[in-house]
Amino acid sequence: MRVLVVEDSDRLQRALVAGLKQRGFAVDAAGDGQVGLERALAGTYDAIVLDLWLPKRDGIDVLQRLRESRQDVPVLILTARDGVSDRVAGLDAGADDYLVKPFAFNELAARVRALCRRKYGRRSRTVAVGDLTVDLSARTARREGALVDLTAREFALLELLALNEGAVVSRRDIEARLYDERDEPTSNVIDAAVCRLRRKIDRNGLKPLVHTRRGEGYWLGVEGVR
Amino acid sequence: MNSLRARLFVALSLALLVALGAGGVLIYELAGSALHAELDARLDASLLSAIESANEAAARAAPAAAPGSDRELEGKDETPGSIADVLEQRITAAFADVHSGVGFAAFARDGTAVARSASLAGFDVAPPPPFEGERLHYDVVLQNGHRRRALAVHMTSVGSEATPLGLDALASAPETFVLLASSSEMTGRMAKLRSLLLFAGAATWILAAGFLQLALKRGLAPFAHFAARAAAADPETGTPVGAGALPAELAPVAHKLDLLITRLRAAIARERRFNSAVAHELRTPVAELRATTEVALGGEEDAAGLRAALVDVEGSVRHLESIVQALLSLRSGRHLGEEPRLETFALEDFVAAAVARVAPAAAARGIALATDVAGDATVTSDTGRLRSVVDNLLSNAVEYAPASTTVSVAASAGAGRLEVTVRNARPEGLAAADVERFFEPFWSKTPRTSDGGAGHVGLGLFLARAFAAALGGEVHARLVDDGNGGRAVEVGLTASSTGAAAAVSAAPPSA
Repeated sequence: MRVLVVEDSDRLQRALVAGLKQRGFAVDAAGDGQVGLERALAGTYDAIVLDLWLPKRDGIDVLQRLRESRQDVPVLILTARDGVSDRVAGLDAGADDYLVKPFAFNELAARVRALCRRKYGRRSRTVAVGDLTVDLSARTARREGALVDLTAREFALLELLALNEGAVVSRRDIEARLYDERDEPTSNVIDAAVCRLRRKIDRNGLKPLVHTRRGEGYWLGVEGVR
Repeated sequence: MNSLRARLFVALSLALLVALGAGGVLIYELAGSALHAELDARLDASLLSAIESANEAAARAAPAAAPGSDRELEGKDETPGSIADVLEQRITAAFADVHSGVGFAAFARDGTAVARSASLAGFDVAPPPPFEGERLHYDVVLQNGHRRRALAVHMTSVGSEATPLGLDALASAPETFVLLASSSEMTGRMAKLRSLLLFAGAATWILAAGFLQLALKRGLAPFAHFAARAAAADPETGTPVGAGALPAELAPVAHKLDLLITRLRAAIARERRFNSAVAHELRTPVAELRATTEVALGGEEDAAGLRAALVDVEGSVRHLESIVQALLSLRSGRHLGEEPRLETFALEDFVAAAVARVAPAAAARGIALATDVAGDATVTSDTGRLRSVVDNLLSNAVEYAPASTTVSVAASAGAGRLEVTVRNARPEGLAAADVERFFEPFWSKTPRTSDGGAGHVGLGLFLARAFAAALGGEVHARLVDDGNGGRAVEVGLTASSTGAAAAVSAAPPSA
């Protein structure tokens, strides 16, 4: 999942980026409202973490412009403003969630994950694909009940495929969702990542769940059920 | 009894009762006096009539009993036909149309009764008290308790005729003659009057009390209404106390109350803004600390990563420290509570030093500094506080003026006043409403970066205002014409230039 963090405090921005990356998100950051709006309009994000009191362009303004541009990316407002009127204004402007500083990082991450799930029409914390169960909150995967050992990036890929269960996810989409602007994935890095994931998920003897649609991308599911 | 209406009612009712009582007593006394006067007049008239009748009778009886006969005139309780009886008859006849219970007594010089009418039923009548003049009216109580009105006259006054009343024929010539008449009728009339007055007084009091109650209720209704409105007055949401028509006596009170409520509301709003601003300012560094530490502890950071996290933690702590220090100095009044340290110095030198302190920051932004100090003025003031104010005004101008513009400082002193004015070009987007908020704590037109160090937490101008007050002055901020068709920001200080008003105990301004 790819997240945009718009926060003017450098220190907090660094912590947000690092913490979300630890939890498997690809994260981009902006230090003011203008840059944040430009990136939100140009990029493909699964969620945006948006401060309100921003230089150059206020967070509410960013949000309104975003909604006017028919961008329905989920937005979580992360701000020091704790007044009811502030919350109402933020939610009315189109925010999907509101979190007041200071906050527990796990809570922030959980809220961002929930927003991402909602974006893909999922409410449950788990996605079951055949005998594969992906726990989006615990960030674990089990095949036939056995825990599959995955890196954060591998789980992020599995999560993306699981949320799009049965649908083909293009390489470009995978690149956009899994890699932030600082990453520079080479041409075959996606293929390599899928290959590694397939080795771990579709262990010998198990029914393959990770599939390739040549020239289009990859999909997760039970062949014949799709 | 705590009710104003109840107190007024009791007080006025009692006053009315006293007034009615006094009026009743006055009427009673006047009526009594009038009745006494009437009775006395009748006694006087009766006496004259009796004298005439007695003289006529005496004249007619003269042939039968020669005047001065010892047999005829001795004794005072003689058988009928005695002089006393004759007198009794004469006087009774004379008073018959006037009063019942008429009697008389005559007293010798030594106070012994020499004659007494039979109508007194044998009761002794005390001689009248000594009196000057012709007559004396007084009250007599007989031994049977009956009251009589008495008229005492000296015989000389009634004996102007040859044989007045015939009493001069007595063996012991009387000196005083007392005519008595029953005062029962008068007493009865007075009793009736007393009852009437009591009844009328009570009725009047009851009616007046009712009217008083009604009048007080209506008259004090505006007070009750005012009290209700004052009780309902709420600095948060209440309607003004002075809304609507109020009596002239209450209007100034309501106006003053509304003024105080307005001030209170503003103070509460300021306090809330201050608290909100403090909370807001503290939240960001605390969020930084928490997020940075949680991320550092939750990840598998190498030494460089942990060091970077610690650097961020240190930065957040410094930011928090600067906020806390500013709040402490603000709230403890540490600087403001100290004795002013007055010094006399050249204004030009003072301004030059202040300009020199901001010169590096100005140079970094391409800002030119221009000074205009009037003459060789000297100022006596607390240099520490004055420097705090001027430095704050100057550093804010240098920080927020558009890059590559000029910040000008003008200073003058005279007539006991020091004026320092700092002017810079208006930053883009700065409105007059923003300028009015310059001295609010933590206010900033645009967000401050959370990396801001001490002096950049948004309390500088707020503290400047407190220091200016301690210097016996004030600071102001406004938008003015820049002389080129544009607008400029002007902030200034007006304070005592003699140190006279430097307050030792000046408190920080209310947040």
